[in-house]
Amino acid sequence: MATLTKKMDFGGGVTTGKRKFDLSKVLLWTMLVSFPLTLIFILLAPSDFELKYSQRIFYFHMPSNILCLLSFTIYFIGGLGYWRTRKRSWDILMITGLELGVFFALIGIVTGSIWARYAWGTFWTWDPRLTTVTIMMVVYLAGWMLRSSVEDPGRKAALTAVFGIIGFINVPLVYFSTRFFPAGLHPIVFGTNGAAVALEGFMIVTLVISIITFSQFFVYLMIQRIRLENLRDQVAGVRMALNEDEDYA
Amino acid sequence: MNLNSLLFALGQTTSTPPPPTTDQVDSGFVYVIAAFIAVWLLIAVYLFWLNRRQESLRQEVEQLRQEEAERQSTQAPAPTAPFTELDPKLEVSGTPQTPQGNLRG
Amino acid sequence: MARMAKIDRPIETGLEKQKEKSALSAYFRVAGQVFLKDIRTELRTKEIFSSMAVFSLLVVMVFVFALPGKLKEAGDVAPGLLWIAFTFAGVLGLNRSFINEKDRGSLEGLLLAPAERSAIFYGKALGNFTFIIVVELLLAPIFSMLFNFSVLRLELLPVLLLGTIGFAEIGTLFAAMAVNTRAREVLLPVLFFPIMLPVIIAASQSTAAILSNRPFDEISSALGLMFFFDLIFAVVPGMLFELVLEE
Repeated sequence: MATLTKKMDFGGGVTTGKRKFDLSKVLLWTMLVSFPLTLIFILLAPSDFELKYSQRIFYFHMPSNILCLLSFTIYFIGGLGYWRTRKRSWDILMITGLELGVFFALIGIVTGSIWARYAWGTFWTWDPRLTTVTIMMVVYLAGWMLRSSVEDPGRKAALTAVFGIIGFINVPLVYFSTRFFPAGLHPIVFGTNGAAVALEGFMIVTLVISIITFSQFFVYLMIQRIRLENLRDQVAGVRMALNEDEDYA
Repeated sequence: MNLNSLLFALGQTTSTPPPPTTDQVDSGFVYVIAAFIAVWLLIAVYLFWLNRRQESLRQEVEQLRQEEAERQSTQAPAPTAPFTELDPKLEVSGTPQTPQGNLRG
Repeated sequence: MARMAKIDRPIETGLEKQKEKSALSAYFRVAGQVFLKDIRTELRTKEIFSSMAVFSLLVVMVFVFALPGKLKEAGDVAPGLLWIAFTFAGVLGLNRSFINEKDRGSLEGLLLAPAERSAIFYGKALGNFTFIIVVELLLAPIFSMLFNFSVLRLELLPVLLLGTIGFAEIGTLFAAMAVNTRAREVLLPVLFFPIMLPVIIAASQSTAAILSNRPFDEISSALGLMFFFDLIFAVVPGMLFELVLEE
């Protein structure tokens, strides 16, 4: 595990040695193919009977929500790992999950509320699922603020880990508590399951292609975020070496 | 495929848009375009931010390396210093040290 | 305790059992001592209690002035306002509980004590629970008076207890975290409120149900949720507390 995040860096940063195989560059090329392909599929997909054209928003909305949950799970796993081992690699995994989670939650909320404007006539309703995602995002934003207000690297990692574990355990509790909250003025149009859109064959293919594209993008972002953190370590390392020189000069 | 509405959406970005017909609003096409633009904007902003942070760190590494090189060229190889035979540059470029992980007193 | 259980011992002797028992009682003794220390300090200075009481009173007064003079139904807003006042007062008290220790330098002393870190946590949490519940019990009659709407019901007591236990558990952990950050006073509410939302929702909804004499069935699931919250976060912060206090 100690070198896992080093390996996931794929030779980015300032390296003097030989260049390694760089997965992020490969992903850039594959995305060049898969992004247009996804767009074509989304445009060609049949419109939903009730939601008509607007149903296509679903193809961005759902993958980003899945990836948001995945990121927060990564953050949680990183937190557990850090708690057991105190290794920097787990810390890098935590911050990667945290930042990408907030990013994809934001995409999910923005696309969701644009769709809700069409389907429900309002940008915002307090239905349980939406409330849960929003609270989740606020929780993780708070974690991000916590991280940025600590100086010492060791303590930074420790507090991030504690907050990640508590926040992740809290998510199901938040979901259950939103049921007690009166749903407000706006009825949920599609029954209890707001996103329950009947998908037929072609739509499912489109959705799968969209999820694959988003996942490629997710892996690309993860590599870049890990690279950023490794660069930070590199700066600290060079700086330490310089200070040592000064001490012996 | 609703070509007219696609042309309408393209036209919106370049010229003053004609008022959307009820058909376009009804089908939700405008909303799809809006969501699409929003997603791209968010992605662009995040990528930009990520890249900027990486760049500034890369510059910092380069700058520190230069400082180090300058110091070594100005200083004669001092036999009194106990650690000069250990080239710190080698160690740094090979395996970046991670003081973060193990700094706990 | 977990360490003791892992020790492989083929022969059961009375001595071993006694040792285990004394380890357990030492654990509780540490927690009890931390709790008593907090109570004693508070009785001497009355710092946390007075600031919490005055602050919560001011919050209620601000509500009275900020809301329209003639409320049609005080019962609609009262439960929510009550829990807002409790939450704000709670955050204030929780903040002081660790900042005072840090500023006096007594936190280091506490950490040097040869005791399990989680015992310190449970002692602190018990102290915070006591401060908050006392303030809440004092505030409730004043709230009833100022709003001219009685919230004094015996049935509210379980809701109050379950809610306050949750406040104390999460609040103590986060206060210990926030005290070592740059923006310590500001950070605690930012961390605390979003995590506490399930409890705040459940507590204010069940308070509203009780005050409008709705049947118990309506609040049983909310009470159950609070119970689960308290149960989970009675265990987890104790396990993570060593990580928080690491130097």
